[in-house]
Amino acid sequence: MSRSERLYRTMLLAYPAEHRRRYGEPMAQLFRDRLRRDGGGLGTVRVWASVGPDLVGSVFIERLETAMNVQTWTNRWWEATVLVFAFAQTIMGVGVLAFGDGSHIRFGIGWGLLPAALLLGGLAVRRRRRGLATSMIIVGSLGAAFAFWLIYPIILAVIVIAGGLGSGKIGRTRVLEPVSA
Amino acid sequence: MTEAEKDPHDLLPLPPAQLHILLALADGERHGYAVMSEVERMTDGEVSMGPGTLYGAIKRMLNAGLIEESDNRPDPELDDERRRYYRTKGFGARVLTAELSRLDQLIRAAQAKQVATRLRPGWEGAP
Repeated sequence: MSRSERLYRTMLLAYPAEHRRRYGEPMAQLFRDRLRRDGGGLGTVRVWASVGPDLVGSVFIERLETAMNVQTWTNRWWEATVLVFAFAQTIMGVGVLAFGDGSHIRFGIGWGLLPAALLLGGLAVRRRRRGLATSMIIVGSLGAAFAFWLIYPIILAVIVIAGGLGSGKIGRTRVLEPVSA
Repeated sequence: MTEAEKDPHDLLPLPPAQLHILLALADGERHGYAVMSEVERMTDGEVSMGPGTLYGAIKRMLNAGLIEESDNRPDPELDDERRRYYRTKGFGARVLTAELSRLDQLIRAAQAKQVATRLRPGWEGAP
């Protein structure tokens, strides 16, 4: 194997692994054929002058294409993240219900977290188990909507009170200034 | 979708490398080096594809169903068995025909406008 071919084979490492696995050997063989035909002295320089830019350009294209095909990885990562959230939410929901003091707000949060976890789980598995995912999403959405109705008035009250405190309409007396003539 | 249902026009215009490879494979199966040599021969050396361009295009054409790998060895005695041969599929032939027809239409439009004559250097309207 010539030094040029060794160098070319080393440079093939710049390609994405999958491309290199499928086409690395034929590419090296094609380079060897070109060297046999055109190589030797200045010919080798001419081969490199032609193959070098081709290699740089095609590495860029293949890398870009590979980067744009990371959808599968992204989907898996997204599904795993959502499943972890769903699992955490289930634990929290069960925890709130089990160790709560029986108040309406804890009851509402507990029963709100569980169907929401079901909904998240449905979203996470929707690519693999479409039927199951649809059922989980519908049941989870209805359950979460129903459960949140239990604490909805309390949340609304908190929002109204916080808004009132923030705007100064609650907590201090406003003195109206006399209108000057 | 079956091969017959695919519309060749969906892939037009073909990238130049793919058009050259389809043309090189139009009269029989070839391995990479033979494709490269045939392209150089067809274009009087104007187009020379490097390994990266050639195999990048081949990969896309295999994925698009234009060509396929062939197990046949036209001349096993003289050939390295590690070489991969490629041949045009039926859909690839239809795409090639559609692309050549498109280019032919373009050439006729250019001829009707006498572009080649009018844009000669020295013509006052030339850029």
